[in-house]
Amino acid sequence: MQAFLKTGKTTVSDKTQASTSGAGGPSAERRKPPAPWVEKYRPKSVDDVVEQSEVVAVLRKCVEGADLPNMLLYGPPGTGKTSTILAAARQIFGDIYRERILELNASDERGIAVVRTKIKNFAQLTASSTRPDGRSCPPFKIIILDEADSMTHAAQAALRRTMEKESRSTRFCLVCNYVSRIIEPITSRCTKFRFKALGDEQIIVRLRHICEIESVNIDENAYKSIVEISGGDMRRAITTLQSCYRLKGASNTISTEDLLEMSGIIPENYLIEFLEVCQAGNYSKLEEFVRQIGYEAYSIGQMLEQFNEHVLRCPSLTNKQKALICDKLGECSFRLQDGGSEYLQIMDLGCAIILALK
Amino acid sequence: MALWVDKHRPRELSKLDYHKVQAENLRNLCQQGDFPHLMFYGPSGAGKKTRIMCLLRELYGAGVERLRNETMTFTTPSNRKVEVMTVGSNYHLEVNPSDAGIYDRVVVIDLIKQVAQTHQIDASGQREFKVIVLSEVDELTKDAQHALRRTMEKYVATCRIILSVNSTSRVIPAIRSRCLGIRVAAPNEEEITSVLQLTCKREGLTLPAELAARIVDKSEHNLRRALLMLEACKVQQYPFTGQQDIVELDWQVYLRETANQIVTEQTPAKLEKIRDRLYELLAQGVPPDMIFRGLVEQLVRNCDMSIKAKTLEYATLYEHRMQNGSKHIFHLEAFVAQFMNIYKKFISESMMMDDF
Amino acid sequence: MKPATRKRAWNNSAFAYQSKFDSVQTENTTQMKESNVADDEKTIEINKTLNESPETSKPTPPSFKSNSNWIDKFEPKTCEEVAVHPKKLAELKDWLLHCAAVHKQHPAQICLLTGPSGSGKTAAVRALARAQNYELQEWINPVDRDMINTLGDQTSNYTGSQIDFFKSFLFRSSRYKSLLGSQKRLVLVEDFPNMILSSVDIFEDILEEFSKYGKAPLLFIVADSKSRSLNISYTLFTEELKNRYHIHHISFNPIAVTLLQKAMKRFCALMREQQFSDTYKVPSETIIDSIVFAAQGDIRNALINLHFASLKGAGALPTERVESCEIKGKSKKKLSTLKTIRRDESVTMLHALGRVFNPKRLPNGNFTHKPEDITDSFASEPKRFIDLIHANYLPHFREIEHVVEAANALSIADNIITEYREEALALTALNLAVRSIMQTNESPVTAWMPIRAARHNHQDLSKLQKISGISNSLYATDYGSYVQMINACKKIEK
Repeated sequence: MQAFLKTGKTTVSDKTQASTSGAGGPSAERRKPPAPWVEKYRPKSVDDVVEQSEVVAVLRKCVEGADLPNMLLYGPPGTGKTSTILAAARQIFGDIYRERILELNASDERGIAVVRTKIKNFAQLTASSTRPDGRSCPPFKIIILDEADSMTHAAQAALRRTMEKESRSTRFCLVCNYVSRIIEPITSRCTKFRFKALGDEQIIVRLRHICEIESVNIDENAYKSIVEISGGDMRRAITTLQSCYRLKGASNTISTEDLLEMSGIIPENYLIEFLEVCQAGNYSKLEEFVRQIGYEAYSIGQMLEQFNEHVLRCPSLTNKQKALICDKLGECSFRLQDGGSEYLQIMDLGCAIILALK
Repeated sequence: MALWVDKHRPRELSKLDYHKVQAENLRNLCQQGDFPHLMFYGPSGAGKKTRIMCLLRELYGAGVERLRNETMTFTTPSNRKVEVMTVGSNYHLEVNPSDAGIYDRVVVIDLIKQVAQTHQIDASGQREFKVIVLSEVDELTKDAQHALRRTMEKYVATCRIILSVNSTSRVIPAIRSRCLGIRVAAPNEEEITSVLQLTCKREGLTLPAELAARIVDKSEHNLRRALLMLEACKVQQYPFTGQQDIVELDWQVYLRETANQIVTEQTPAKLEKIRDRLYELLAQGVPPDMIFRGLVEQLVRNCDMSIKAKTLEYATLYEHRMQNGSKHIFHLEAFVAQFMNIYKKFISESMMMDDF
Repeated sequence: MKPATRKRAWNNSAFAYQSKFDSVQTENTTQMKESNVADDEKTIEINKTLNESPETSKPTPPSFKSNSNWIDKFEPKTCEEVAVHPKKLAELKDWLLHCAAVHKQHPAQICLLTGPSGSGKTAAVRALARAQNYELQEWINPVDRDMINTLGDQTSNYTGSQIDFFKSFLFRSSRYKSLLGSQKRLVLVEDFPNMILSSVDIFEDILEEFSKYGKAPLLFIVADSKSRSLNISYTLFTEELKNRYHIHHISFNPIAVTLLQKAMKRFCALMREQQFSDTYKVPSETIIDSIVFAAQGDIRNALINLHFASLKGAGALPTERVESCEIKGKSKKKLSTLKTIRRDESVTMLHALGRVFNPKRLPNGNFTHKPEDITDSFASEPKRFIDLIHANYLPHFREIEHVVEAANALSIADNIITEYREEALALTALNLAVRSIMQTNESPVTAWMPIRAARHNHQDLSKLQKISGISNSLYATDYGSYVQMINACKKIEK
């Protein structure tokens, strides 16, 4: 396992940090801290990739033919985009894959200057068709640009010429969440693969597998809540599991409550109570309730997010009421994100709901 | 001449008065080899800082309690010197970057750079990273938060960051997702009461249950405030009586009077007087969003539901603008003007109703 | 060279030159016709070359004398002509007499003369010096030739040399009499060497030396400046310094309207004289009145405006446009004339504020002064103007209903102006603020109200007793009142 970490991309730690709640295995070089599970349980081959069957089918063909097109992988976070391309690279290059890959993500400097120097330099290196040990190996390198949608358009534009010029010896693989933020000339030069959000079952299977290997004590129901918290994001699911395991220690059983507590999800009963308080139409009760939430340190931002779902699903509200509430909800969420005060926003929302329900 | 708040602050995770399960979790966390960035969140006076210090002690031993104060100087791009007070030990450094005002970004970047570029000197220490404690991160500008996010990634090998925030809503998601969140809820009434009683016992005083209950009631679940109130009560009058006066925060009293004045008269001249009072509050350092909240809480007391809703609507509007503006007084004043207007209409309408 | 410094150097040099060559008076009138701005530029150039060698000043070709500007021509020659309050003049005269009286024992008297620009400081000194038979020796910052020669290593070598230059000027000019005249000498410093401005220490050293070895009275002239950091009399002449070297401080006020009018009459009389009558026609009474008003006590400004107002011929056309607006009335001088004179902005800000708070309307309902015009006049400092509006708008409103809209607009304006990335937005914000105040106030209170300065919301952090590790806001909200109380009680116990 250690070998894997060492041979891994140079940005392993950044990567994990970027997506998880602190998997923090950056001091790997010096000591032996446990590897973050996200890295540890990355799929090793294309076939291990969960769910994305069409993509996998295409890639398998590519791997067999030992060639890759320029690729653009897009889809929601935690659906295995980076894992897939890394696994493919491992299969193609075997143990020298580290030398054949340049990975840059959003936390690296990726302005136009980097595109002009670092990427170009790497692209211009020639890759031999044999490995040091004499076996044959495909004569190209892969440049992986993670979170490509955060690159500036200027940098993307600078990239497209390089992509064409070095196409003989270099494959580009862009990974992003939103394909719309990639400029047209780039998308047209790449084969596009769309990654779907993972199904609940798939995630649970994977989590169970990890729990068995790591001998985590976990409540059977807790799996479901992890899936709910993660919302189809495998990386988030695994990190949630690991953070929880860290907090509870090996001896304790992880329960649904622990998971909710850790992820900052607000228990359902608060949402129900909020609506009930508003239905009662009593301002001072509302004030009291909001204070209570404040004391409990729940994030109002999170609350609004969950409340939106709750309102939509709530059977007792008429469509008009829902519309009125959601209108205000949107406004309040925006102001909150933009720096507004929590107390005022939720009170404003509460008042609007009281009036809407009258 | 330490205040009771500091004197009786628990120093170890095992000695914390409440949230015991969480304390146990934090101990578990320390026992593992790797340590994530942490974000403690919870209302003011819930004990975030206490928990952070206990955690540091658990990590590094008693050495973290040898604190020294330092004033660090940062130079902004415009060549201006910004001084920020820091408290630190050999193992950690505690800063409140929002004290630097609009230059917080520089402070965040430079500070972490300075700390992170030096490795832990003490080789015998079991940790190879230092800890930077940043408080009131939710008050940082967006710019500074983004800078913080990048530096967090960059120097993760040599330092860990512990954030202390009042509300996570104002922290950008990128930071939230990089930290392990620790929720510190405010203590409930029994917990505060027991802490107050315990403190009195340690000081050799007796605290009547009635007074304790009244302090708890006034403290708004803020343990720090409760303890300060208790100490203020002590210097005012001891032995305690159940009925004795509890000193209130002067700015809260002042704010309440201001709100009352708004309700009594709605004229431009009055508004001008209110402005002076608001200036006074701001000059004392009361955060403008707390002024907003306090005003709203007081103002809505005597009006009916529709006025309440309108008041809140305007309050949210102007508070939001204030966060994006530079002159707090403009927006506070605009809100007061709006309230005066609707309240005046409300009064005159209800007078008409009475006449009929 | 920045315009401001250029103007300054140009005026100084012009005066300096004149003190040495009184022949400037004999003007070639035919050339005067062309003495418009372009020609003045030429004068500047020529004078600059003169500046390079203030000590070795030799008579330069006479061709440019005729081009000397009108300020010199109308310079007061006698004390009676100086448009300065007689009391102040007497004060200055007393000082000169005092210098003469103690000349034997303490020759190195120092005096500091301050006042707003255009209040006649230099003119008063010149006239008095002439009356008292003093010969003026004025320091002019040399345009540094060394610097150009040794561009590679200009740093230390250059700074030293200018200070040395200055020192040697002070002592030489005060000690050694010129071979030609046997007059008493007065050393005048109006143009401070740059190095001195940045370092008070150097200045102190020089004063120390001068008070020991100087042989002639030394007079500093410093123009007041609005901002403190630029104000030499604050930064350089500290109270302590003034006491130590017994520096006599005379402060001039802006010239009073009556005096200014008297001076204008004199100018007009001069214009009617034979030598000028070809160039000038005396403008009408109303124009002179409005010039006096617009000058706000700045005689130089008044003179420049008068010059434009009275020029005949080609140059008259653009001026007329400006003046025609001025004719409208005494108090309604067009802002565009004032825009050329920066120092007046804060004064006219008050007028602009008046227009915002008590807008006059034309019969058709439009504003007499368009919000756009007011906005444009303060485009250079929109923030300050908005702050001033905010600080002062409330007393002008009668009804809270009207305030609501105004306050709302100000709040939006603040939001807009905070967006620093788009400069044009600042103007939009200013326009919004101005317009909304004018528009929303349906029944302004017309009583006279003093304008108050905008308050800056600086927290007085020094007042807070800081506890380490606690942020300012936390101290203010949670600790402040209790800590003060607890500490107070503990002190009593002790």
